[in-house]
Amino acid sequence: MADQPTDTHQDIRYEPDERPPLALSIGLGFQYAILAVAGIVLTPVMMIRIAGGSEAYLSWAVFAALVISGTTTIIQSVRLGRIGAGYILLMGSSGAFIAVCVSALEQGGPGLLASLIVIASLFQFVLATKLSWFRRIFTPTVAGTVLMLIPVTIGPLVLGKLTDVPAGASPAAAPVTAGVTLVVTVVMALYNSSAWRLWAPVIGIGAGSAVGGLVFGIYETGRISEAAWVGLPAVVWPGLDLSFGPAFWALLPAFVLVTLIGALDTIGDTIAIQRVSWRRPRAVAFRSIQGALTADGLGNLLSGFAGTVPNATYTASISVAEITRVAARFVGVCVGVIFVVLAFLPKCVAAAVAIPGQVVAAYFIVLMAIFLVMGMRILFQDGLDYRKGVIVGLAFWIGSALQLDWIFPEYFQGSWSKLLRNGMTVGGFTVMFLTLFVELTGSRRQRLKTILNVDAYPKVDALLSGFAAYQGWNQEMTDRLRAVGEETLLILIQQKEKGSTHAERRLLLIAHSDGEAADLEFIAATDETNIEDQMALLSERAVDTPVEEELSLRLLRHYATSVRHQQYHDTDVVTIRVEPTVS
Amino acid sequence: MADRPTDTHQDIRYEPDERPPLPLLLGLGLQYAVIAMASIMVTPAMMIQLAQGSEAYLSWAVFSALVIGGITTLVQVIRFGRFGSGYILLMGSTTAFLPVCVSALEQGGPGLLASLIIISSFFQFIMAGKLSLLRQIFTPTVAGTAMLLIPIMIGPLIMKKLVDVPEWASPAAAPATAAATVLAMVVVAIRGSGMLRLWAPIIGLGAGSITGVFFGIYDTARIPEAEWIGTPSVVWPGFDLSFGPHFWALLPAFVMITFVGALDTIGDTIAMQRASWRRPRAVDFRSIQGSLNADGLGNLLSGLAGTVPNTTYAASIAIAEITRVASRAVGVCVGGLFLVIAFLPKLIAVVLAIPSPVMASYLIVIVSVLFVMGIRVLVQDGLDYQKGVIVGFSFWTGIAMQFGWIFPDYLQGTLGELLENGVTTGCGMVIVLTLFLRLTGSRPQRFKTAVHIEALPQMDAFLSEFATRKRCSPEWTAQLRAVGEEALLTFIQQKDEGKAGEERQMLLIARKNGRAIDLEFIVSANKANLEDQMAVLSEQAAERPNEDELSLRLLQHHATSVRHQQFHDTDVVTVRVESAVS
Repeated sequence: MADQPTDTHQDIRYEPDERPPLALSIGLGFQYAILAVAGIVLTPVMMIRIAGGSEAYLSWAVFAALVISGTTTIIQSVRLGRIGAGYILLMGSSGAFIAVCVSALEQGGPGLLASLIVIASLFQFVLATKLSWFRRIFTPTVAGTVLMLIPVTIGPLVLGKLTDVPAGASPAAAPVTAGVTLVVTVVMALYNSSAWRLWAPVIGIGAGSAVGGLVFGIYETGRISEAAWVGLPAVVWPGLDLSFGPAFWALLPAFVLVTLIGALDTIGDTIAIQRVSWRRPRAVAFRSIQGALTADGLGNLLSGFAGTVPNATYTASISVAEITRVAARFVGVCVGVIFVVLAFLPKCVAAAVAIPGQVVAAYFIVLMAIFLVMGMRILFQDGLDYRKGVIVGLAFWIGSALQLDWIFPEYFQGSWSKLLRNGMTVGGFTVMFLTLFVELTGSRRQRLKTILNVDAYPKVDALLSGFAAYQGWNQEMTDRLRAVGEETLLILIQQKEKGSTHAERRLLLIAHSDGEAADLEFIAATDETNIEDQMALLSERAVDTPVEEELSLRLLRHYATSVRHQQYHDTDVVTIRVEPTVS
Repeated sequence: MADRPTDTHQDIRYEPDERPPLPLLLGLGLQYAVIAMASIMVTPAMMIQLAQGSEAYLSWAVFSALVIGGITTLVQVIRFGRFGSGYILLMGSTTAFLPVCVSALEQGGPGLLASLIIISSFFQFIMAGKLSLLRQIFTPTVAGTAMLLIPIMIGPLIMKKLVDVPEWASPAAAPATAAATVLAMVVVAIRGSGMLRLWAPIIGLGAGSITGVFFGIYDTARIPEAEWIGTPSVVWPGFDLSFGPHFWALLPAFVMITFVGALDTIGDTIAMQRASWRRPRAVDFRSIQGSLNADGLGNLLSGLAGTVPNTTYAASIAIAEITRVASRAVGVCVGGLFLVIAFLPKLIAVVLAIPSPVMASYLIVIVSVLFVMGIRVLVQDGLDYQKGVIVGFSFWTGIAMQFGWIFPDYLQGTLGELLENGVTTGCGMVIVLTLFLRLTGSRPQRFKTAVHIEALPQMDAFLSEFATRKRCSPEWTAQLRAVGEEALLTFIQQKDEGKAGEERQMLLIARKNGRAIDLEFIVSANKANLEDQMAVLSEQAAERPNEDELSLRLLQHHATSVRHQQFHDTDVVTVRVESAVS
């Protein structure tokens, strides 16, 4: 695809460093807050209602979720030391965690939940510093598969809430309320205008609640009148369950997987918000991503201590910034403050908690639907070849089958069963295991890191000759590989000369074979950060639209079976496949 | 992606019209036959065992699946009038039908199954005749969603078969044979290359069966009892023409899955055409129609016989690509071999003796691949935000209805039966939401012309009028007109550069999409209906588009995004023009 280069943000009204007038900031802050507040409040509500927690715990969890989301949103915006992105990135409770949180609450109560979230959050801090290392195990294929499994895991739980109406309510109350919420949300989401789409969940919830309240009387208005205007809920601190029993170990892998998926989402969102925040395009700021991940980890850690649902960045931030063209950090601060203020207004919180269960369930149905599609997109963008296809398909099926008790349920008893009957854990680990198997049984990757200049040629040539010899290819194939190496190197050097910056570029060449052909990956970057960390980011979703270069690659095609050139702001990635010719 | 142009099949050893020597012919034919044989037999066997049909019906269904597979493969290859593609396209039983066939057998017996398959096969004949019309409703989004749902629907059926071992068998027998099958299949599929990969199902079934012998659950007694040559007794199920509630409840699902099979056939036929000739040829539209007709014929015959319907096997293309033999004679040989095998009861008994857990785990891998194919179909068709919401929501609804997660008490009677079918509900939801989107969105406007400089004023007038109707600002209108002009000039230039001097036709479709206007230019020299062409070309990525760059540079000044797909004789340029923000 030949998309236009991404330098078209001249119309941004306020960049992150600029400060809009106070009225505009507060107005926008409210808009963001209303869009996000449903997710922040309803996720812990759903979790506790499914798991059957007390009313006091419910109030506490919602309060804590709001305070923590507010605090982390402020940190993301203002950036404290190494924590925070420095951009408007709304933080809030993450729906992806519901299934595992409910299992934890059911199996060990809030204490177990708290310790699982706290331990899992530590992985996110590690991820922030060791990005490329982590991405080797936790590939987009794992993330995509687990995301697709979330709806299967949570489906029966959420749908169970659909029929949960107070005794004495009309039999039509549940289906009609849920139906209205679903229809309105889906119809709004299908609307062409992106501003309407953003409001789809809020409008859907509003419509469902109105029908539930006005027609069937299942909206708990009593709860609102009982609540104080300003106040604090009773502190229900769950403490940490440090017994590390079998339930802890059975659930930990699933918590870690979901935490890492949240981290991937944060990476994608941070790259996207960076792109829409500046009038002149800048290179992706790696430190800002690390900061965003650390802030996200901090949010999870705090959520763990408080015993509420962990956090994630909300993608709505990017859409709102794109539509309003306001990317000023100050707006982010306003949103954070509004979240915190809301936490201390029990009447407002009660208005959200009073929403009928059917409406909340319907909201989550749409959310889960989006998880499925997100998973598919991630898988596809990462390149779904035949092998990966088999791996993903099998992992998804086995994950679903174990979750839904299709495979030998009588064999899964005891503490192992809890681990193996979690679809996300099984699916995620099946992908990791099979990918590892392919890597281990396949030929080793060969790597070369060097400075990008003419002097690199002998090194590239030597690596490719050695690689061809290792694979046992004939002279003709060896010559083709070497020719590809030479031409690609020349193209990359030529580009460096054309480029505006004269900074030194570095080259990373990775050669590997799947037994049928040679796959060469040339990565050239100027950025001072680790080139492999850069790669880990660039493969991240299509948030950064690559500009594909063509002319210079014409020659290469004589030798190669396929050539793909992705050009980011300061990084070039050329992927070339060379198949042996058939005699 | 900048892939290599597709004119690289100089190394094809035998084109469709050429005839390889007899030993090669037979050798290749056997290879094709063995690879496809397992699927052809295992699918009806699974269906009847799941629905607890009689032994006699089992033998009959497997026999007729082989005979029909053989006949339709011959028809596909040789081409009789409007039936057949003229290429090696293996036909055989399809797993996609398994869940609905089992439901039909359970609810109304073989008679109901037969009438459902026959009626739904007519839809395929209609589709062959009216490709573009039907594709308005049965989009790849519908097919992709069905492909995601089938593997989930099949889950409970697999569960039954996984544990289906004799009572006296060791408790480890079922898990061990199942694990051996899955492991062997997956390892060969992900580690093996080229030809070996195609053998993964056979190797998996073999490994599972050998493990089964070890546990004593491979039904060896069945083999010596079977004759070397013979026919099973005819168990003709007849038709159930009562058209009762079960019929109507299941019909939509049968039609949807027939459509999924048809889409697969289209993709396979295009791919086979590409892999068959030394010099690339334009996609032969008639061959696709013929292929669909032959597929429909296979379904019709399957219905008449009361066995599982047919589809094309994608293995045909892989084998032709690897062996570089695309000769029709090979296809004839394979069809003949299927027919011969049908009359060898001992050989059939070897397959039917395979333990249930082995067949079930074989199916796990097959449906897992189907799931990923579904993802591919969806994403390649362009999974934008709106389609994403539609697919995700429909998939979710389909699963929830299938497993009775949503208000099961409310779903009773025929309506309940209809809605309890995941494919019907899921795909029905996709169709309804897509129609909603189309009805509430702005209607696309069309303009057809010859690619010629004289067409410029007419096209300009069309775009100006379109812009006025959509209340575009003067700058936006100017942008649109500039894009139109440049696109037309590019096509004219291409025509001049091209070897053929024939007249090219252009279809321009303009559509408003929120703050953007999408213009789609389809230019073709082919005589076939341009819209039918589009319906076929958008089909999967079987034909790798060769994206052109240079000529589009200019366009990009005015457009937000430009996408140019160049097929052999058809150019599709999609341009998005967003309004300039003040």
